Amino acid sequence: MAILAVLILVTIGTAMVNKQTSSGKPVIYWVTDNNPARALQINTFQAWMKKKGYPDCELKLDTANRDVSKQIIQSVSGVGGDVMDCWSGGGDIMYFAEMGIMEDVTEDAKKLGFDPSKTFPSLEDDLKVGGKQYIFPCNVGASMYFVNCEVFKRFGLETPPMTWDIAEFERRGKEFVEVANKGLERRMFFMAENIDMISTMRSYGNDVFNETLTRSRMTGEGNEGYLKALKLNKKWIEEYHLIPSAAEVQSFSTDSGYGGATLQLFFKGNFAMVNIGRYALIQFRQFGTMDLDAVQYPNGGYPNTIIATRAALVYKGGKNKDLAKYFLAYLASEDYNMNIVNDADALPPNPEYTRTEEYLHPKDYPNEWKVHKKFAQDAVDISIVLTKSPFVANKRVYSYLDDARQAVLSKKQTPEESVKYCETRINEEIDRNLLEKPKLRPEYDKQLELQKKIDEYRKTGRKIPKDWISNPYHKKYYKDMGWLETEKNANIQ
Amino acid sequence: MLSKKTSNTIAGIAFLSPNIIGFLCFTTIPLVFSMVLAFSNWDLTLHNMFHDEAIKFVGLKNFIRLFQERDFWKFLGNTLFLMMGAPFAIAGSLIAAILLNKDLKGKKSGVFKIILPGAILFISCVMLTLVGMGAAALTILIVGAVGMTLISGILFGQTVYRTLFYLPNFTSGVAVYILWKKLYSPQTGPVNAVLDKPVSVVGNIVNATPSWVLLAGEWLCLLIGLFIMMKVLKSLFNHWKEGDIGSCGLVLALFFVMLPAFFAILWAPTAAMKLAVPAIAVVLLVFHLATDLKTRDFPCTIWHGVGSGFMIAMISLIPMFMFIGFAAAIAHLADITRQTDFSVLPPPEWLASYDWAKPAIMIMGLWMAIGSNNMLLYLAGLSNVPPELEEAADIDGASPFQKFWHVTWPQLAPITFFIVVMTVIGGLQGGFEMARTMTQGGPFGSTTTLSYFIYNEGFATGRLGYSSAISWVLFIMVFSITMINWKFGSKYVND
Amino acid sequence: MSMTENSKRDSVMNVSKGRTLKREIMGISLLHILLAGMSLLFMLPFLWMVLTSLKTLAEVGLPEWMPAAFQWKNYPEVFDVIPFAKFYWNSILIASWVTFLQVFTSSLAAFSFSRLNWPGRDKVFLMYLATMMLPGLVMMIPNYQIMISLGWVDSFVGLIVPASFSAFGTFMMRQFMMTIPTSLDEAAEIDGASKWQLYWDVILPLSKPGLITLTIFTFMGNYQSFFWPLVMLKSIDKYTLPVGLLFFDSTRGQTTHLLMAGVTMSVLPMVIVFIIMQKQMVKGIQLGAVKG
Repeated sequence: MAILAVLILVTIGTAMVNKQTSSGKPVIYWVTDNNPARALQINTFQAWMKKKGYPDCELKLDTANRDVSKQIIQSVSGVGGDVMDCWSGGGDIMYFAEMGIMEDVTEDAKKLGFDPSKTFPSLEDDLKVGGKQYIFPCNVGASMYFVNCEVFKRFGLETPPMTWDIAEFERRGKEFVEVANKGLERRMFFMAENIDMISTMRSYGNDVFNETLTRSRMTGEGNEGYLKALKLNKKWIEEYHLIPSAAEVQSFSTDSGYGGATLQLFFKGNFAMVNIGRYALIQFRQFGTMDLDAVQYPNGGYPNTIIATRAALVYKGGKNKDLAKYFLAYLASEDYNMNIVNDADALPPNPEYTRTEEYLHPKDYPNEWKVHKKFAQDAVDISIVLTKSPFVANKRVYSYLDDARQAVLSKKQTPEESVKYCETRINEEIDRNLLEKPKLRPEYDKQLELQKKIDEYRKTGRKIPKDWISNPYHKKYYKDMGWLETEKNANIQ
Repeated sequence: MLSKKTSNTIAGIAFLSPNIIGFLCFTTIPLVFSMVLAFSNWDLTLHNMFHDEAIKFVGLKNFIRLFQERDFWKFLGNTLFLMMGAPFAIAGSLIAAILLNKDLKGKKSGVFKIILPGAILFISCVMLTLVGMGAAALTILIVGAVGMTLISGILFGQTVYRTLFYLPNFTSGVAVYILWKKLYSPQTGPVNAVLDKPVSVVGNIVNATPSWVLLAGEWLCLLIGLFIMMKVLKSLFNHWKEGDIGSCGLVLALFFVMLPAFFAILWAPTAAMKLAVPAIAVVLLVFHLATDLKTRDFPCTIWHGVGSGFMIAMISLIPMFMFIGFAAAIAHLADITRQTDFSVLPPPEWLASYDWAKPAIMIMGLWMAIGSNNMLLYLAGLSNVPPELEEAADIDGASPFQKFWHVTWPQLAPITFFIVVMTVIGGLQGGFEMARTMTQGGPFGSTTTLSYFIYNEGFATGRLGYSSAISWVLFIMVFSITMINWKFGSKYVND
Repeated sequence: MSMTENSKRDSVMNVSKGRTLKREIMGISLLHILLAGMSLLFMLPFLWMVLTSLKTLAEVGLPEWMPAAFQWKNYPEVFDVIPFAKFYWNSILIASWVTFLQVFTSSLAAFSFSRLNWPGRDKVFLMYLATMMLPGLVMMIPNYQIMISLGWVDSFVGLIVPASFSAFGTFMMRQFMMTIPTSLDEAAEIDGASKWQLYWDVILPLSKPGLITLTIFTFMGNYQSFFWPLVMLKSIDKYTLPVGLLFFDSTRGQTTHLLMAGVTMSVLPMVIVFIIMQKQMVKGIQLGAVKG
């Protein structure tokens, strides 16, 4: 009984202390991960609203982890945050769009100035689903290899060139691991920490899906991109030891619970290069100074990189949707963009601000100066979003692709088998999805028709109308190859 | 005056009511909801407050789909494999509890006065030597920690050790997983540092042995396994004859005892063995059925003794599987050493390898189980054993083992029942945190458990109807195991 | 080592007594060494965590366990960047409430299930058992909808009340109460005790080890629970520790050293609760031994 009394007293006390003095202002909640930069971003938002003469309101944070489950549970129950973060990479946008929890902001974006023209052009396919805009980026990531120049210097080797092909990478890599590991009991130095499988596949002119996103197409004549990537990955790990095997990574250090020790090992020089976006600079700055450079992924003919975004969406069931839209407008503003620039948290949403002196040559970090321009440049020139099909759960697709890689490395399947298996699984997933969601069928059939025509045209070498293609990779690749019809063909049956 | 029965009922319901009201609101309602949905096509991308499409009932479709799922059996196998360590884990926590329940002060004050200065002296000497030798800081730290533990253990008794044993449960699970990844790291981890030498020695021996000897060894292992099976069969039929085990118990036990023979089809190294082992087993069984079924000395009801039949079968399974495993291991080793590039047999790559990831996780589970909640439960159970009973046994001159078997163990039966049920539940639903933070279910799905599968189905693709169906299949498995336990478990469990 | 005064006196008095003393010393020393050695195995994760919390960010994740220099400032830094004390308080408060309510309601229900005979008792109990067998994930959304309709989202009530009625605690307490001999009930009945008196004065004191254990489990389980508070809480001043500590593990990069410092500090209340409870348990045994 005494315990009960104490508990009640303490609770009342806490409740009194906690009593909130409500400001009476409307509150919008932003569901995102809590971190040291958020407080400043919230403050600048409120200042910006005042400056612009927009209605007075309060922005509050609602912490989420990197998992979408919190957002899903809250938003399907009708109590999602007014603004929510979502990741474009793994297909969350497509997923959220299917659930219908996002507010269509196409019109407001034009009015308030956060339409796709305000961000990187290659992101357009991620911002829109079915022609409607739902999100605007909080920050933008285009990945490259960061290079630790000191390591190459230490072993008397040249720093890699900005653009290189697979053979060049192999040659330099072999040279590096031989010189660096000479006389060591076990291999301690690797050229890179991993290889980007998707980007390597794309550099051979292929993608996971076909042009109309109706089928996975990774086998057969001319579609061997992923197979080649798998074989390279295997060769570079097992034969040349350019990149560490899973066992070797674990032998270094096994701190994978919180993001891994990759960056620390890069800082120490064990990995000469590391495949990551510009946001890694936040951590590098805390480690200390190192002479940094950035280079593209080695390519099999078509240089490319992957662009993705952590974006904000307006929740359809929110109480303050209008205020939430101002938040998206804020993300396009100078105030916010400069905040991202100074924080080095990946690229600012608006590419305009990558031309500022603060972006290109941050005063305190001259060791990074080689890097900044290249990231901005690549994001504009060679970047493509990850392909997401409206006919399948895209998270599945990317986990199947990774399964294929693991199957090859653990010698459970040959590269040929694993690609075939992966393709079959994705296509089965598409079939299952169509069966469960008959409303997708008409659109799917229409796209299948188009696919047939595209295949025909490609066979005969005829140029293809741009509108036929919905796969963002093929859109860009075909354009760069000159395989697209120059004038628009509006006549689609 | 109310009748005794009515007053009991009223009191029973009154005592239950505070709990059951909350229980009905927060557990039963969602539970029934999810049961209904297991038969529907509930999909978050189709049905939520922003879509007005109606949820359709699809009958058993979700379940049919599940059994056709490519990976379901694999994931179920993974889950069951990880559960194989559970009996050892329970035994480990019981042993830990018994150790931690022992009197550490001694009955006489002299004990304390000798041990404490002795320990302090010894530890100071070791520490001074280490510092003098210039040992690594970490070594000094660890030795210092052990020394402090020892001294404070002597000073404050069991609570110190209990706290330390339970320490992994306080630290976040992630810290534990990271530690084990470090321990398992193939080239630098302490586990392989220890294994390195013995493994290569074994490899060399296998390499140097002529292949016919190895083959003979494999046969020997299998035959020993079969010999054990023969003995167990004989004893089972004897029990049946003497009326200790009823017909139902016999059939159940026979089923389990025959299992290894059929697993040998999967595991046995050569085709001849794959054929011979089950054949011999069947012959043995038929022989017993033919000779022993005729006469029965003391009949009993068919449900009698299912529990003890089950126990005999389970205990006999361990050595049988062990010997089949030995045979498979010899063959596997010979295979590896026969490969052309063989120089030194490397120790396993543990978490980085498809085949070793599961055993690695099982071993980790054993470690985690020793100082776990089960240990605390057993500690609590042990302190509930009336001292009079133990003293009575002492007077009777019982040996420590007899004392444990006849006095302590029966007292622990209700708690053991609880632990077994919770272990089965935890085992079948487990592996989620581990898979997420340690292996992401890989390599190539080899550590993906059913709970991780359910999560991926439910939240990554939104098919909640389907993931409810998987959950209910899991439910049925746990429930039937528990019911067997409930019905045929020790008679102490529900008197 | 020479014999002490004490044992000398003993040996003078009785040679055989001296021999048992020697044997007892040997036995207890061995036991201590064994237990201390085993303790090391279980200390390792904790040790690693503390050492990591004393590293700099660049050292985190490197194979060396020891930091180059102990960064004690990591600890005050945790308090600087997040309202750690507030999270601490919230966590302890919520966990205490849940523990109190759960132990109370569970022991009541367990009493009903184990000591009272009423028709349908075992069926209801099996239903309790069965609810634990369904993975919680699929019940998450319906449960959340109940919380919304009750208006408990973003409140402590929503964290405390649903957790206060558990099948686990009921099951566990029932098993403990079953180890108590039924002869006591009969004796109490003859004395004319009411059911409440039987529960409060006889059964509850005798199931103390079970109550202690359940207290530990419930407190720890709720103190560490992560996902439900994450989904339920919106305002920062209501956050519990596990949710608050996400601050150090964000998209902006991980500050593992600070995270580990936070986790290390968050362990403290649990250890205190554990030690107090175990002390109670050991005391219980000694009392019993004296009585016996």
